Amino acid sequence: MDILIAKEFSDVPWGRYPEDGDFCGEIFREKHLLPALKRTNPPERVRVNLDGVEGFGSSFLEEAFGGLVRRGFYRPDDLRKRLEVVASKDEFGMYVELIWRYVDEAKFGSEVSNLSTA
Amino acid sequence: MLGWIWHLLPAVVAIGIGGFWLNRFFVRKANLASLVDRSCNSIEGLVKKCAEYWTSNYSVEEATKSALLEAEIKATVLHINTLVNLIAKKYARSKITEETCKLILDLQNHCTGGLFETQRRKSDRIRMVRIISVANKLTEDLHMLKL
Repeated sequence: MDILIAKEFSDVPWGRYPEDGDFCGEIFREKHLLPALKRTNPPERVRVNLDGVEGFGSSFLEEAFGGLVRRGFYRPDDLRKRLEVVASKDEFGMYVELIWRYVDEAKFGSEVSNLSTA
Repeated sequence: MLGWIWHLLPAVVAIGIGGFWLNRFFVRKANLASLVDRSCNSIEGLVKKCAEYWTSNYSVEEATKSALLEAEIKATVLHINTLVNLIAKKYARSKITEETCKLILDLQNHCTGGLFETQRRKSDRIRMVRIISVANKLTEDLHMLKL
């Protein structure tokens, strides 16, 4: 399953929390990423494509991807089996590396989700 | 009658080819230096923007100014990353070390991480110290390419 952020969410993703706007990391995680991951069974993977976006703030990326671990949805090794992040532009390789850094550094289950439990 | 030409020809050809390669070497060096300078100027500009952004709390009155700074900071980090990629691709792939790549990731992480683009943003001096430290290290690494 593919998620093209620029087309299906926003080409200008912005902020971390819902109070920061409709295109923040938490809303992307809860309304797009998490439902797609839940519908997917390994070895099938959700492929998130970063192409077409104007740029990402690390706060967005950490909340969207690191948040999956922090909120206790998936452990990093489990997430690697279910998720693939791609970008065709070389410059966006930086974002792909950072996403996996945030996933690996996040402490599993250290926070409770606001949206998914609502 | 013109037999002497054949004696000079190898020297002329050698000078021509040597001149071409020498010129190419110096042009490449100059282009590399120019790209490095441009990257370093961008890093300097980024630090100034971050200093403005990360030394104040979020406020409704300054929301527009903050949004502008956020867009500039994100775009500048991406621009620096693009320039360094270009340097690596065209001029110095073997000289751009893993450490340099890690510094760019750290720069993006410190400049746009934490409560960046949020209404909960607080003045963060420790983050600013980290940004300056990473920016200085990256500038040093890039200047080394010119030597």
